[in-house]
Amino acid sequence: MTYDCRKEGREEGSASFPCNVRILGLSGEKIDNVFYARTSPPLIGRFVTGPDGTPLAGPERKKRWHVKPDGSKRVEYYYDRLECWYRIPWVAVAVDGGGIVARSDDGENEANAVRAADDRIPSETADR
Amino acid sequence: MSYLPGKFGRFYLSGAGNVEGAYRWSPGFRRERLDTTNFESAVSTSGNNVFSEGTTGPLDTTFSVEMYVNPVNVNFFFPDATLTCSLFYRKNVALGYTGLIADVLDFSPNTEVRGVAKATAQLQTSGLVTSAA
Repeated sequence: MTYDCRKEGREEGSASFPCNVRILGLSGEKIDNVFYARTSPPLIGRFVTGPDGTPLAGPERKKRWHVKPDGSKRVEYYYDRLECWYRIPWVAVAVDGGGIVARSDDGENEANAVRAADDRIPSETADR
Repeated sequence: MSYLPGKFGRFYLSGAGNVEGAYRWSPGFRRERLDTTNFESAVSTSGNNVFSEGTTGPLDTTFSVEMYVNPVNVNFFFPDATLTCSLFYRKNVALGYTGLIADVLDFSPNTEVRGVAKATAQLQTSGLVTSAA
């Protein structure tokens, strides 16, 4: 199951939460500015803001076609917001009431295994 | 060769003096709207998070500079070079933009034998544009 609330580039087949929710990590810490959450394997996407709440810009320019009114096109380079993706289990809690609306699947062991595999450094693997 | 004064735009490398020769710049400043919709945004009756208007993000602009080719330091405006630009609407009046870091995207000099040694450079700022005063 995928939840996505982006204005543009929303993932096909994704759903919305029935109410506005806070995304928490398993230890209860709040994760701000989440716009994407997948249940299995767990994945969340958030954008990063500066101290004043303004989204930070990503370090790389992106490219898009800008169509002028006369129909001609030209390449435009622009900055997009800085987005971070985490493969961590999450819980969605209703802003009003605090009930659990959704959570990442309990296949956490599997997810942890995947994460561990990704995080494993080559020397560790060689020792085994 | 004599140059027109840096009346509207000044270009320099760090620690170096002004790059002479530039006589016209055409700015086109733009700000990006960055979407701030997230799962905590209010939900509409259709069950979607209400899209934010977005907040204005960093400036990101490309502008072109016309110049007489500087016979001493032509490398200043070669592609891949990075310069600092201060662009003023009036000479000596802090109205405009100052201290922009810009990449040279394109440098196209006039190659006609009988032509005046002019050139046009396309510059793009690094994303942060400071307005003067």
